[in-house]
Amino acid sequence: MSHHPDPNASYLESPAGFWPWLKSWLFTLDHKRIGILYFLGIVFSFGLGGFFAMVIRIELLRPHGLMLTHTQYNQVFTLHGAVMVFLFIIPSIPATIGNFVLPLLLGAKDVAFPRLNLLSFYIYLLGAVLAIFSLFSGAVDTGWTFYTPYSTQTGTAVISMTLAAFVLGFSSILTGINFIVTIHKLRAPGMGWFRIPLFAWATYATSIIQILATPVLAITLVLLILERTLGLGIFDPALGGDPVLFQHFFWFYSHPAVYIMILPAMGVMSEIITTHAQKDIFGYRFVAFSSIAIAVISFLVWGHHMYVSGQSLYANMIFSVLTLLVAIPSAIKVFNWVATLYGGHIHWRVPFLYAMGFIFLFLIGGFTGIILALLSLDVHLHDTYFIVAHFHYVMVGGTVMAFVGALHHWWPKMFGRMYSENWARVAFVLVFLGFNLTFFVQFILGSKGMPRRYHNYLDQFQPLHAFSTFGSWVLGLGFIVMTVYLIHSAFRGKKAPANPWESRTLEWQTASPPTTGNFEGTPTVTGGPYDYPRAGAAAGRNGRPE
Amino acid sequence: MSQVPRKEHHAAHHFDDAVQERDAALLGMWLFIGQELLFFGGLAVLYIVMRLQHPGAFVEGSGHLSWKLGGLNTAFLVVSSMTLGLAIRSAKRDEAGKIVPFLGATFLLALSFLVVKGFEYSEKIHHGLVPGKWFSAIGADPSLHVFFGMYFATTGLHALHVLIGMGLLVWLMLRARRGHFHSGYQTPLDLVNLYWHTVELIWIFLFPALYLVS
Amino acid sequence: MESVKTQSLKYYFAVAASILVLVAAALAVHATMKGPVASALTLGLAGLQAVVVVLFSMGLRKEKGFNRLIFVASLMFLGFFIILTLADVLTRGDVAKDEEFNFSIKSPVKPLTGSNHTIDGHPPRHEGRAP
Repeated sequence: MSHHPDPNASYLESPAGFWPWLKSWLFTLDHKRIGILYFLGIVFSFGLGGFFAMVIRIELLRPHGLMLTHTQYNQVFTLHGAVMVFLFIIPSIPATIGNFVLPLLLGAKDVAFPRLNLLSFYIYLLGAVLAIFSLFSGAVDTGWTFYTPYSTQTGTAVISMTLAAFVLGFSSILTGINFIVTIHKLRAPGMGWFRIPLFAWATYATSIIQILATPVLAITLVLLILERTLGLGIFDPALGGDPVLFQHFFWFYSHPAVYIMILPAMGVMSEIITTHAQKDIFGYRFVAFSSIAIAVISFLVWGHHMYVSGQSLYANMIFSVLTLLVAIPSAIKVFNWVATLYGGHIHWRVPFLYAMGFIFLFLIGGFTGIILALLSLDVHLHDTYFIVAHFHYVMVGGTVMAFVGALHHWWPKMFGRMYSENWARVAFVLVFLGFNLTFFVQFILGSKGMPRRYHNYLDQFQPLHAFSTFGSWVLGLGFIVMTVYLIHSAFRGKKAPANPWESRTLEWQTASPPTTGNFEGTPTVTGGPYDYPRAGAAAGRNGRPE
Repeated sequence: MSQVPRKEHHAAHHFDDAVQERDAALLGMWLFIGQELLFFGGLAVLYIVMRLQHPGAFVEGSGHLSWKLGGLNTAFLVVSSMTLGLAIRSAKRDEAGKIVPFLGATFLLALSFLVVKGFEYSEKIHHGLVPGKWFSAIGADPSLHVFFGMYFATTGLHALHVLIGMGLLVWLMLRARRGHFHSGYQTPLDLVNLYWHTVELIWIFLFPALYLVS
Repeated sequence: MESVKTQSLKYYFAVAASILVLVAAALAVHATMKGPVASALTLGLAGLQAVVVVLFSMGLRKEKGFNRLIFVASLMFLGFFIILTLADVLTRGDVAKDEEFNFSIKSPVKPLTGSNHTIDGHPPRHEGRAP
């Protein structure tokens, strides 16, 4: 903490020498640097999870296995799920983009509790270390859901992986607390609640879920560890416990967690679409409140993961109806984004391409979600590849597309460099195409009856599995291309101007990269976040022709 | 009593003023309490379901617990909450010499709570009334071990919170000795106060839920 | 330096005393009554103690509106958790009722026999099941 950075110098500037440089990063209290630290951790986790995904796909090239034993296969898909969910996708947008951008969007100097922010990064790191430790100490094979009674019996490293998820949960809770307080207390003068950029609203809704759902995951995992070590007799039927109760506990967190993943992605969408269409958002309040509505409803629908678990039929019906409600706020958002585009000055830059990719893929993910919410259909499709395809369309097609879009949107701000637009387009085409090749066939596989998590399958499914595997190589290639040009850009890229996209939100009104103090003086807000000059005479503020 | 030097507090650079800083800290603490409620709320759900499924075990298990020791512990926590409140009152009234004694009293009461808890635990362990894998007692209800699983899980997690609270009290005493708390600044005291009352709140429900089942 | 306005000493004593009185009432209920009514009463008295703690010790009575909302919202979500879980648990059917006892597979509890009918001074409340 000896390093006192100059508030008017670029936040990337460090004292000379290796150790002072390292120290200035490891003990930084600057939200932007903490965002970058998270970014590194998350990219590493994405690589690790992606590696496991590739192994799964290659293994499934042949119906009777290629290189793994059954147990190894179970371990690989568990690790893919656990790493991607707990280490990558939950912290992805909130912890990296949120940390970097949120205070800038609000015109604040930092988050409310900078030391807590650094602490939550180190807690994340501890969780990552525990997860990697569990990988080398008998990798867990229960699936990322840790269902009892198998998780109380298997000989693999359940305890270290659940401990990792428990620790990562704390990091998530602390980040959520930090963001809510920041949004409440540190907005620039003049920024009323309805002048907050919509990414902040989405972060706010996400934080509510992080704070109120994650503790239930924490207690669930503590109880699972105690059940495994002491035999409490609560989840293990052999001791008089109720294994379905474990599923209630697990999904009370893990369903809202799905919205921890998608809500920030929706916030990113609102920013990218307004900026690159140079247009005020259509129906600001509807978009803002639909985030909160999604957050609240997300707590009421967890039972739809349990239709065939032995849950009572009455509960099934209640959860089915409640689940269908989520479609309403989600649809409000999609309609409003599309309406925003009408009459806008659209620039087909890379972030915008990802936004369009998001809307397309999220629609497919969302509609198949409605199918799966219906009891009659879900009983047939439950635990098939249809489910696998559905949630990958939401998580990868939704959140990862938005994360990559956000990365391209804010990259010039984060590193002060531009990337190659053409290479970025190539990568987008590869990712978009590869994703659909990989996962669309899985809808077909699932509806034909291919169960998920199976190592061996019937010979007739081989062509579709092989097709999916080839698709995953295209997807992987896309991410490799992206990694290469982004690394090149970070060191050799063209210097970025302060506001390359001519955006109206506050983070673009300061230097690229921002100074340590974020702004020269405190910015004052006098209008809405998306007050773009009227786009031509053809259309007015909300797309209405004049 | 020697004079405690008064140390003024300055708001961190990213806040406009001390009021904003204090409001932010309290808001953060209330959010933290919200997550604590859901954390122990999970145990409440577990308790309700387990009691519905094994009613006999809860009646029999509760008979093994001493309501006298449980009640004594309740009294310890209630009085400790009061002494912590009095410590804040002293800070607000600039009676610096009284802050550390009140905090010390709170600490000792918390310690007494844990000592009593320790006696209770050792007695239960001695009789084999422990969670399932090591349970070795005789019982009328075949699910009796479920009650003791619940008992050790809930009171154990609560005792851990008491222990954390004691650590926080030590931290407050060290700061109070250096004159950090006075009429101009008591935020850390208020935050720990909220935490400590949450711990008290949880015990208030654990006591009848475990000790007073009939 | 001017002192901040504080509550009187009586206020603190009164809060602690009222909680202790409620605890004593719960103990009295426990000593005199049995059955589900007694449990409901003791837990209800705990609820009253909690209200005293939250409103007077934690000061939610005078807190900012949003801080109150957080507390209420947390309880509301906890309520959802309880209600929807019970919607399953209470309507699951009677699978277990025909069994000897719920999910009795390997109970570690040693059954009561004629020779060991008391356990550390507490008489058993049920007839032991057949060995």
